[in-house]
Amino acid sequence: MTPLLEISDLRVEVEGREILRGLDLVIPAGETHAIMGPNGSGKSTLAYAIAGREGYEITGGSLRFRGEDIADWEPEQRARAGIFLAFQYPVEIPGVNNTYFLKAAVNETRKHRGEPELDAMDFLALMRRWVKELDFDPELIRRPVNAGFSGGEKKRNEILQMSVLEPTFAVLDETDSGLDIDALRIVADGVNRMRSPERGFLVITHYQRLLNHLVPDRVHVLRRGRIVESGGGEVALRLEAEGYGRATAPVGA
Amino acid sequence: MTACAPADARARMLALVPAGASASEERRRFVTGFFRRGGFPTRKDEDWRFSGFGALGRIRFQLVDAGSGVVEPWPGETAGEAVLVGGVPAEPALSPPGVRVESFRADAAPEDLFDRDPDGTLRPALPVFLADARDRLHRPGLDLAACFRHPLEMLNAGLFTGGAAVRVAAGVDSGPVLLRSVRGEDAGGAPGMLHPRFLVTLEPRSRATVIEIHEGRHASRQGWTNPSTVVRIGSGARLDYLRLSTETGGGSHTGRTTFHLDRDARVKSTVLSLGRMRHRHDATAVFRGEGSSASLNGLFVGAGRERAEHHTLVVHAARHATSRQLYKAVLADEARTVFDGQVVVAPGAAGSDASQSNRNLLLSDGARAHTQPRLEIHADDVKCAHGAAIGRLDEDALFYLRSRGLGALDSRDLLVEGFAGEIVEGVADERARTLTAASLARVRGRGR
Ligand SMILES: Nc1ncnc2c1ncn2[C@@H]1O[C@H](COP(=O)(O)OP(=O)(O)O)[C@@H](O)[C@H]1O
Ligand SMILES: [Mg+2]
Repeated sequence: MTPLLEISDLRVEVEGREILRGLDLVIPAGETHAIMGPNGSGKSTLAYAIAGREGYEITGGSLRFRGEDIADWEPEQRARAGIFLAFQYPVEIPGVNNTYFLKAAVNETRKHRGEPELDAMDFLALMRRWVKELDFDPELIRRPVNAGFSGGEKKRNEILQMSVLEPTFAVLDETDSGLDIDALRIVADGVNRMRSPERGFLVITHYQRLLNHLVPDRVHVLRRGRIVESGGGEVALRLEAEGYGRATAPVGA
Repeated sequence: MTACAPADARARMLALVPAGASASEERRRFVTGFFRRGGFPTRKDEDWRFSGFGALGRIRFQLVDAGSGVVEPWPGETAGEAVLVGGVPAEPALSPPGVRVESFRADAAPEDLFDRDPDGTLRPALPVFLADARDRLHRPGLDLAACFRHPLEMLNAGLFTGGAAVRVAAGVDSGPVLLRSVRGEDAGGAPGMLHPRFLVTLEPRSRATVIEIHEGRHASRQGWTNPSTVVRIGSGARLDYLRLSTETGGGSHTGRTTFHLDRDARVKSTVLSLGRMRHRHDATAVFRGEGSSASLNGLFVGAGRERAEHHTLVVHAARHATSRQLYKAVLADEARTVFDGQVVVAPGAAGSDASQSNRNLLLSDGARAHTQPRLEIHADDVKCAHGAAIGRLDEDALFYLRSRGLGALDSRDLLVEGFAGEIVEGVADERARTLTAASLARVRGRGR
C-alpha cells in the first residue's frame, strides 16, 4: 500500500545553506513516528518543508504525500489535502479573531473535499465541543490568534486547531516543550484520540516523557540533516539516558 | 516669510469674510492676522515640512455655494443630528432630550450655546477659543503659544459661513449625535473652499457620542475643505468621538479637532481618513483638569497617489492625566502618510502618563510612511513611551494562515483587515465600519 508520507533523499536549502542533506523517512497510514535530535539538526526545517514554507527550497530528492509529489504545492493546497503542522513557535496575529480564522480554515478544507460549508451555528457547536474536550480556556477563542497567549496556551491552541481541522497527517514540532505534565497529557490525549488506520503523525520532541503518553511506532534520530538511527521505543529511552552522543557520532561525510 | 502672502490674496480672503453681527470685525482681524503670520504654510514651517499644501496659497478660491449639495440619508441610528450643506444649515437640527443640537449661519450664531463668565460676559467667543486656551495654559519656560499657532485654524475662524453646535446638559447621556458636512458645488467654476465649524460642549458628568462626517465630491483637484471642531469636556464627562472623512475628487482636506478636558474628563477619539483626497488632520488634546484622559486613534487607508497626514498634539497641563495614541496607515500603490505626534508635559504636571504608537503597513514598493515623535517633557515623575513601525505584511503570519488552508490572497486580506481592525473594532457605528471595509477592499490583493 502507498505510504502516507514518503520522503527520499530529501535535500532542503535555507538561504543558500543546505540543512537537510539526503533525508529518508516513510510513514505508513495508521502509524505515529517520533523524531528526536539535537538543536539545529534540522527538525523544524523538515516540518516546514513538509508544510511548504516559502524559503525552504527543495533542491533534491522527493516528498510524497499519498503517492503524490507535493514538492511544488502551495502551503494551502497541502493543508486542504490534509496536512497539518503544529508550530514550534505559534505566530501571534493581532486583529485576526481565533474563531473567525478557524472557521475560514475549516470551510476551505470542506470546500476542497466537496463538503458543504459549516454555518456559524454548526461551527460554534463544533468549537464548543473541542474547547471542553481539550480543557481550553473558552475566553481565548474569542481573542485574536495567539495574541497574548502564554506558551502553554499557544500549544493547546495548536492542538485545538488540529482537532477541529481533522487532518490526515499531522506534524507536531516540539508541541510538548515548555508544558507541565497536565498540559502534556492533554496534547498526548489530543493526538491519541485522533489516531486511526487512515491517519499518520510525526512527533518532533526533545523529551522521552511525551512518548510515555504518546507511544510511537518508530523513533528516528536526526543529526545534521539526516536520519542516523531508527528503531522502537528503546531508542528514545536510550537517548534519554545517554544523550545524543552515540547517535551524533559522525556518519558518512 | 511673507512670500506666500501677497496683498491680493489677503484682499480676496478678506472680501470673503461673512458680514453681520459684531463678530465680523474680530473675524477680519483673524484673516489679517493669518496673512501677517505668513499666509498659507510652507515647508519651511516645522509643522508643515512634509506637506504639499503650500499650493493652496496660489489658488483663487471662492467659497462653495451654500446649500447646493446632495444629502443622502444616513443609514445608522442617531439620536441627534445637524446637517450642513456647503457650510450652512440644510435642515432643522434634531435634538434629543437634554441635548441642544443647533446648526447656524455665521451671522446668527446662537450665543447662549457658549459659556458665560460669572460677570455675565460671554466666554469664549467662538473664534478666539484657541487664543483663550493659549493664554490660560501659559507657563513660564514653556512656549505653548507655538502649539496653538495653527494658520488654517485661524483661517477657518475668519471665514466660516456656518456651523453646528452641540451642548449636552450635566448628567445627560446623549446617544449618537451626528454632525454632517456635505460639500457644496463650486461657485461659477472657481475652485471651491469650505470652512465648516463645529463646537461641542459636554457639561459635567454627561456622556456623548459624536460622529462628525465630511462627505461629497470635489469638482477638481484644487478643491479645499478646512473644517474645525472645538470640544470642551466638563469634569467627569465622557465623549466618544468619531471623525470620518470620505470626500472624493482628489482635492485637499485639512481638518482639526481640539479637545479641552476638565478634571476627570475622558475622550476616545477615532479619526478615519478614508477619502480619495490629500488629507491632513490635527488632533489636539489639552488636559486642563487633573485625572483627565484621552485616547486618540486614527486610520488612513490609501491607494493611488493619495496622501494623509495625522498630526497630534497632547498637552499635559494638569497632573495625573493619561494619553494614549494609536495611529495606523495601510498604504498601497504610491500612497504616502505622515504621522507627527507631539506630546508636551508642562512643568508641574506630575504623574502624567503618555504613550504613543504609530504603525504603518506598506503593501507596495512605492508606498511611503514617515513618522516623527516629538516629546517635550518639562516635569518629573512622568511616564512617556512611544513606538513606531513601518513594515510589510508579516511573512510568519502569512505562512501560519496558509498552513491552515487559507488562500494566499485571503490570508493577505485577513492580515490587512486585522491590522486596521485594531482601530475600527471599538467603533460602534455601522456606517463607519462599512466605509472602512470598502476602503480596505480597494487595497485587496495588493499585498505584494
Ligand atoms: N529561516 C532560517 N534562516 C536561516 N537559517 C535557518 C532558518 N531556519 C533554520 N535555519 C538553520 O537551519 C539549521 C536547522 O534549524 P532547525 O530546523 O530549526 O533545527 P531544529 O528544529 O532541529 O532545532 C540551524 O542551523 C538553523 O540555524
Ligand atoms: Mg525546531
